[in-house]
Amino acid sequence: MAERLTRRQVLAGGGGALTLTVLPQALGAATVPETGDLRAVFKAHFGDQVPTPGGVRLDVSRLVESGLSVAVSLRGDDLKDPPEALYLFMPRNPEPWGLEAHFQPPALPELATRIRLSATQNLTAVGRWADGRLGLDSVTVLVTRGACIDENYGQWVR
Amino acid sequence: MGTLSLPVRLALPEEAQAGSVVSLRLLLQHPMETGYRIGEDGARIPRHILTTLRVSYGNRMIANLTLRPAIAANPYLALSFIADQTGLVTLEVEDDRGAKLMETRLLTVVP
Repeated sequence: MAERLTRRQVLAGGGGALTLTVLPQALGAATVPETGDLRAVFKAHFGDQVPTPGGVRLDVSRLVESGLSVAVSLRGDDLKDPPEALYLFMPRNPEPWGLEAHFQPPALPELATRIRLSATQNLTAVGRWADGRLGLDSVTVLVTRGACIDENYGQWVR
Repeated sequence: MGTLSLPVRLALPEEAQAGSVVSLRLLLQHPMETGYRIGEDGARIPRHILTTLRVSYGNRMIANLTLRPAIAANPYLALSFIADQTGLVTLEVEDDRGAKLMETRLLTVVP
């Protein structure tokens, strides 16, 4: 009886508290895998300005089998207020700067391509407007097999 | 060196309605060698990538892209623009070994 009570107590009290404290961390680890750090990259491209979320849209599959060729598309959200340039950054690739595109009317601020991803990471698109505004959109892409595994040797090459 | 003798597949309509969105899709054959891979002799395979893609339409530069090693081999690129005049659409592609490719198509715009 005393034993059963303590087990209930553990389940009701301690157990609940344990799940509450452990779960957020576990979820955080699962949904935000290593993001890499884009701060230095942003500084190199945009100086002291830091892009804030919004204004651009990045479309990419959230789970890819192979990082060798990943279809992505990026575009400015509002056609009446088009960004003059779009950038694509992959923080965990050997080189985080992946693509830069400058547009002039009548081009539409959008493009699609296929990229390499070396690992699971937060793929980030940045738009830059003529007045200096910066906007970004970020998608965590889970990569089962990165692009940096050499097919012939099965080893990581960086 | 010199002119890129690569097959280029360009999808662009010959005719478009004025004010409509024209999509331009391009498939290039290029190794896009990153410079990070190690070859059979244990040495790094030197970088060999396409670096630039420029699109002009009716004597206006409408898109200028800088490509990096993160672009997959045999690059696929899709762009779009609004058809506002009959004119030449010109693509210029360059790689980091000085090779160049130019492709021109006429786009006829009908009212």
